[in-house]
Amino acid sequence: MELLDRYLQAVRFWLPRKQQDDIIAELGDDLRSQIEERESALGRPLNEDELVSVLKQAGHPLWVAGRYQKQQALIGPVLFPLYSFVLKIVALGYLVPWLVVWIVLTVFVPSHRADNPFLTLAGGWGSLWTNIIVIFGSVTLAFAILERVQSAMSALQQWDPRKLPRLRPKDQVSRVESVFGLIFSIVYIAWWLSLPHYGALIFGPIAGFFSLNPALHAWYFPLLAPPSIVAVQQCVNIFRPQWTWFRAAAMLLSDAVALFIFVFLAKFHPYLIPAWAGNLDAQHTQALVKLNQVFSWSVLCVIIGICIAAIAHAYQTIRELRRMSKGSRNGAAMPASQTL
Amino acid sequence: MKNSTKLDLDLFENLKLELRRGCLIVAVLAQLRQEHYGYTLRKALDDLGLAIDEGTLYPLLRRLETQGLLASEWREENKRNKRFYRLSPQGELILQKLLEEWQIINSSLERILQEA
Repeated sequence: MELLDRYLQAVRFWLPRKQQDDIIAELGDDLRSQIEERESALGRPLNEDELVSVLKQAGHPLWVAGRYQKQQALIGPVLFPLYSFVLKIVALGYLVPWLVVWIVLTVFVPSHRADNPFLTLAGGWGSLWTNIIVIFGSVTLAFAILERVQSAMSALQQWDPRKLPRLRPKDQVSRVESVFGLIFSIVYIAWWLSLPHYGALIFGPIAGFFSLNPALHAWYFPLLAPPSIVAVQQCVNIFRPQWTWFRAAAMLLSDAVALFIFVFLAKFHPYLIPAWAGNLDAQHTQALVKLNQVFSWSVLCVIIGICIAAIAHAYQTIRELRRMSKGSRNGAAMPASQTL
Repeated sequence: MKNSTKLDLDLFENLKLELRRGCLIVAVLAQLRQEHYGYTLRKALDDLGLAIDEGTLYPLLRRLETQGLLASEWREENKRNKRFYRLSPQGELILQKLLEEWQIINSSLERILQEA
């Protein structure tokens, strides 16, 4: 019976202190009764293997003890959807950009690849792991605290269905989105047009030492094309919000133009050159090299970003066009609203 | 194919567990209209076709007792201390209501199955 006592001792360890004696006495009696019944059926004491079988059937001590505990969850089912949503936002807002930059640096920058071998994830991604643990840990901790106090919160009990958000029109581009998008596009275009006049303010102290590669000047106005296409789309969608296909197609066109321009721009390395013909001192030469590296990486990041956006917009365009053609085949009212 | 069979089995086990959970409570309460200690209760249920392992039964008994549906006392029997359980007066009332509810669900289910 030593094995049984060892088993009960192991179960006892995981039980709440106040209930240990009570539970162990009852569980012990049940197991002893089982053993006695088997022994009387066999007409002999159980051997070790048979005893092991009885105990294994009863379950692992941790599992058995766990059944006596109150069911607890760090974050309960009420808050879990919100917790999961916040984690996704954090993942999208932090991890995805980080990953994109890491891929760009690893794939396209040999010096970075040499310094951080591809397979040393634990080492090379040290800062990422630390930040993930800190961010996810903080979010989890905040929700765990909220979970503990939410029973006292009346917000979930005292709610008014009339205060729920208005229904979002399914097949329309939001006018608010179009208006704010248009304002942003106009501000961006104005900023771009002001660059030649306020370049010194924007480039700060480096403006006197470095200037853009003259070959890039030819691309100054073409770079206005993508935001202009988007601005036109936003303007149209303010008056024709039901033209969802137009938004998808215009965004795709904007992506294609931007991709074409940036692929060409990538060839004009170095992007910054000394502002005058004479030689730069060592400090400024080093700064120039670094700045050109930053520009190269930025252009690569932008190209990758545009490619991702183009795939998404191509998918949306195809989906919208299919929806339109399906609607026209079914003779539904949608095609008219989509085209008028 | 193997994976889908395993998934089906897991799914079935989970659903069976959910189905049994409520029924076990009713069965335990009903069986404790007569006094039992844990082992004999388990045997009685098993003999009637409702097997229940000790890891499920004892925590359930404890919970039902905390909720006031069962009363228990330690007594010596066959030279060993055993904890005897029986239905409390409140447990009787709740059991009655649960059985009524079960009858309603059962007859509804029968009608649904007949229609199907």
